[in-house]
Amino acid sequence: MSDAIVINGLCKKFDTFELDNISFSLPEGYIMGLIGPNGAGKTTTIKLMLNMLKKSAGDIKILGMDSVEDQNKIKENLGAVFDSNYFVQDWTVKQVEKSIGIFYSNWNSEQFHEMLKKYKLDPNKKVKELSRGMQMKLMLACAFSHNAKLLILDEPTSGLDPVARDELLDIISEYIQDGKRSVLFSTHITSDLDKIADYITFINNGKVFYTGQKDDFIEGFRLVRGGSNELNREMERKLLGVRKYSTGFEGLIRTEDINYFNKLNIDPVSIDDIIIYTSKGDINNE
Amino acid sequence: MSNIIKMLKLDFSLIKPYTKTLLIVFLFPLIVSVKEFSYGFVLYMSIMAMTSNYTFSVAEKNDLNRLYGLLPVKKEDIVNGRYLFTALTGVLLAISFAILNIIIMFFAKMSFSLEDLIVSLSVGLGMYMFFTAIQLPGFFKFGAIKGRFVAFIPFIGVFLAGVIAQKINPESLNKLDNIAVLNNPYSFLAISILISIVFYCISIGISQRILNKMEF
Amino acid sequence: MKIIISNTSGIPIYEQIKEQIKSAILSGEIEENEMLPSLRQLARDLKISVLTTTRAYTELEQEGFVTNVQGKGCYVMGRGSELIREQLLRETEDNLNAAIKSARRAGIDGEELIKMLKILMEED
Repeated sequence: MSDAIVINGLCKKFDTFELDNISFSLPEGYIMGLIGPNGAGKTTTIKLMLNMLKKSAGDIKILGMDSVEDQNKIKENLGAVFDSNYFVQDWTVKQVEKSIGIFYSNWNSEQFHEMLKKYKLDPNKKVKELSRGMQMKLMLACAFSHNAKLLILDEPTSGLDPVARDELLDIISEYIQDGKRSVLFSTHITSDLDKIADYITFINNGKVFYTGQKDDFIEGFRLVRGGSNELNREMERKLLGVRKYSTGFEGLIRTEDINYFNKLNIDPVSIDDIIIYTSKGDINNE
Repeated sequence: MSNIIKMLKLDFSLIKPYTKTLLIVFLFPLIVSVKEFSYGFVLYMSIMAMTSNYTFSVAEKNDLNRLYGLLPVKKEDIVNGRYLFTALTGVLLAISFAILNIIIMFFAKMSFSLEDLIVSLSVGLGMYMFFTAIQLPGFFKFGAIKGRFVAFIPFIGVFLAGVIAQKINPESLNKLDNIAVLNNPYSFLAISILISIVFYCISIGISQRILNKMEF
Repeated sequence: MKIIISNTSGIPIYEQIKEQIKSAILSGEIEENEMLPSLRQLARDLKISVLTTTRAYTELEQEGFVTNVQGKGCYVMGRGSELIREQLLRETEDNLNAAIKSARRAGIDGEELIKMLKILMEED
């Protein structure tokens, strides 16, 4: 089984920000959540994958091909959904197909029209007249109409109501049913990923904090709570992030360090807890 | 279909909403050209040169860089397609303008000289190509709005050149008539086309380098 | 077959799926050679990740409850299968040990315990 994405040692230098040694892979047929606080480097990573930015170092292989050398071949098999649509606002839905379809050798016009019907998109409506949720579905319709093997979503659910978000999750689940198509889902709304993501890559401050299976990610951390006086120096060093208040503290630890916190309250975490606490506790990061 | 043709088609679909404006813009020089074709035509080509930023403007307003990044095209294709679009619209519009004129002249039972027509065509098209060759790199580098300042440079340049030439030697412009090659309207057309191609090639090279360096 | 998962129970989801399928098999609710829903379909229905269902099915196969036929699906092994019997035996032993412990704490002796067992078995 091949990998949909393999990124190795990716680096990109900007004036005020640096992407440092990003590495992760996504096996074919699965969903990877790309998470991290705003400004962490998620969109930069995606732009580098699409060759919209030039990397300073490292390599990127998508669907087995090099992201620079074979960028056109890759993009023939790639679809994307961004937080806002990437079409000309004055185009009608029909015009979108006319303008974009010619770029794909495997564009399937019947499929496009089927998708329009399925998503209830009016071919004569202008892009700017569509609601945010419909615009997202239009981007999906385009992605599905040229048989994209990899779907890249960058904040696709921002501005969507819970119903539309749920619909998207189901559409993605259906997309990967055949086991040959993969999804990279970059978002800071992690509740979406708590459910369906198979893999997680967590980027913070331009570095990879974790990459691997989502279940292991969540299993690998715990939330510990206790009284202010129950914290000693040894324990503090084990905290990845902490919130102290008058009547106690709450902190994030790795599951393997549970024994240092024997007498205290220990609970499982959600993805959000991990993100929040690792963003706070820079002093406690190893 | 090569990628350049695809980009050409994409550019056409970008300016679709502007076609009505362009048709209105067509009318004023048409009226002038009935009186004196060469003036009308040159005016027309100048106006066309001022609309060369439409594709850039639409692309900017719609943040089309993301679409360009998604589509299976290279940056070279974007540049080449844009130049092809600019040249093609110039040539097509010039020819349709000339044909319209001929039709009007015919119905107005006015006489016209084919040679004058060809010379005007050469000058007008040459000017258009020259102007756009200078403008397009400016648009690629600075965008549609800031690039407008660059767009004015060729106009000012030609204007100043004309003024200076007048001041230095009022006879100099007449001397041009003596150059044999320039006397024959057909060779004039050929030279105009040749110089345009040269300018465009240089300009394309510059734009390619500019766009390659840019990151979105 | 009914599989219902809870996000708040604290038990890992793959564990929940495993247990529910196991009970369904042991109780006879799912029959031998019946096919379980596909990995991806189950993941989609329960709105969980494919790796989670994969892990549940893999462990069920290791424990002998199901067998995975490449390209076809996951089939239930008969209740007479060796591994299932072993599991059930172990479960019975564990439960009996637990009963013995409780009995000791309550001060119930061996004979009384066996009497209780006989009565309960008749009731069933």
